[in-house]
Amino acid sequence: MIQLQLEAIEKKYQNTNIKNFNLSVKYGEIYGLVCDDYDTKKLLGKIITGLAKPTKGRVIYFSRKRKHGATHHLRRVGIATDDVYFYEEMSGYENIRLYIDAYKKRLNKLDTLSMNARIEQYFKLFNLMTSKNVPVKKYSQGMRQKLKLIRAFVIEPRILILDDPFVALDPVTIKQLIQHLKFLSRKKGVSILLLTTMATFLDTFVDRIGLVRNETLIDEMTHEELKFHQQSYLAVQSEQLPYLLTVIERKLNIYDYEVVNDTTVHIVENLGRLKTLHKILMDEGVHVQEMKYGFDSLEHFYLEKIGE
Amino acid sequence: MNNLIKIEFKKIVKTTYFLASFLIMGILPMVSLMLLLLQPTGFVSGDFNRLNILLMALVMSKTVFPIIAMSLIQIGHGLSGLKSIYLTPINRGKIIMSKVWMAFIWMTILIIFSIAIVVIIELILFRNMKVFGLVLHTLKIYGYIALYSFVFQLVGMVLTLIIGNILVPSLILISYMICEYGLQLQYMISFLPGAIPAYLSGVSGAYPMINTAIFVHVGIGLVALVFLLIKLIHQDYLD
Repeated sequence: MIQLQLEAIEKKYQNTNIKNFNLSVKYGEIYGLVCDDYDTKKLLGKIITGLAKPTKGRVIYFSRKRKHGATHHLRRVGIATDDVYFYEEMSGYENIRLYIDAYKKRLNKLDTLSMNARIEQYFKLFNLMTSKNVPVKKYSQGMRQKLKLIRAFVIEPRILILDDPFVALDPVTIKQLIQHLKFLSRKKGVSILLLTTMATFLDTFVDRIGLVRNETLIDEMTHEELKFHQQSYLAVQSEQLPYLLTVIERKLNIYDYEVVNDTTVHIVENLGRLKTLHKILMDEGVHVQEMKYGFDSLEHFYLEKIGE
Repeated sequence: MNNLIKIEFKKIVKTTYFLASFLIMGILPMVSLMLLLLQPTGFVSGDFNRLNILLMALVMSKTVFPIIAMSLIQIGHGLSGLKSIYLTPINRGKIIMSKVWMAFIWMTILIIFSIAIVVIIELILFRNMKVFGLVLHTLKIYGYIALYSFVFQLVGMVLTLIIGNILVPSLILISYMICEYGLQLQYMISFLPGAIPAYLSGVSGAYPMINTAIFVHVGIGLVALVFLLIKLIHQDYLD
């Protein structure tokens, strides 16, 4: 069942011109939308969250049509985009409480105690407990990012829209965030749309990925398809790189390789045959420092896809 | 709506505008008192309260009252704060109206605060026990002044929305106040908007076309309110 759908969206703003943009996020799915520039991502985020009205097309939440400016559907949508701001004089905790007040109708089943417990649970998850009563003006960029995420999670949404959620976060928090996103999608059925210009980390947990180039969705693939396309290679490191290349070309007839730096080459072709490579290199007197299997990162795949 | 007004209130109490507005309103009766004491001919009971009303209508209606309304549009990253609350399920029209109501409520609180100071000063300095009766008698006038100033609040909010800051709209309103006063001194009947404060305060009687002036004034307020609602609800927030 589709939870969020962009149907033939068109919108022009300054140099960004989105034309016939279609996208859908299914129930319990994590969808990563990788954009090639910040402006496209920003404009798409504004259209999806309702801050900008598309010239043509529509955004459909929970398979229901809505008018521009309607807000009812947002009761079940957690948003962490650049448009989320905090009142600087208030503490992080007060900001979240203030935000929750806007959801009183839906959350009034919960008493103050359970609501406080829920907020604290997220402050603990993001390691912000010690700063929860500190005014937001004293927060670092990373702390503000965490607060944005808390704001999106705390309302128990059915759809999450996250704009570059990993920005300014430390590795431990990133790991926890990925685990939590997986938990929300797998166990709670939350549909998650990640808008990003950085493909890092996405390939490890998204169910589907969309690649945007020049304001157009150029490709869409599932996690499995992505893994299939991400090229495996054997990385060989040697100080004698020119001699190493001569050997693999003349003795093994391998020409599909990529020189990564002065000492390393990635061999892509016929990985099965390469089991004998080490022996041949030894026989030919090539001094190999390291040999290991690897696969291309999503960024690498994306750059290849867009021809960069 | 009550919940939204509470949210707005929680936001403003943390700002410097809140404290500053009370400080300035506290100074207003002092200025009235000083002007009275400078009068060589002396004054009668009730003059202090009347002068306070006149200054409120002349000065505060175009300075402090609109500025507090403008601050409601600007508090918390200006329009960014508004964008942030638009990402919640609250109806946009209600969000705008909560700000408009909050501006009016804040102004009413300031007027009551000013009245309280007038009463306290009258009691302490002049031991005038009739002050309660005088103030009660003029409560209706204070009410009219609130409605009169409300129009400037709405105009101030529109100007802030268009210009994007508080300073320039404040300067525009202060310039208007000075021009209004000057024109009123020069052409008493020709510039009727300037006659409204004096008429409301009871210092001057009704001019032949004062009702037309009030009608136009209220009309401007309504146009400003409609513009505010349409603009804030339907505009794209692309920046």
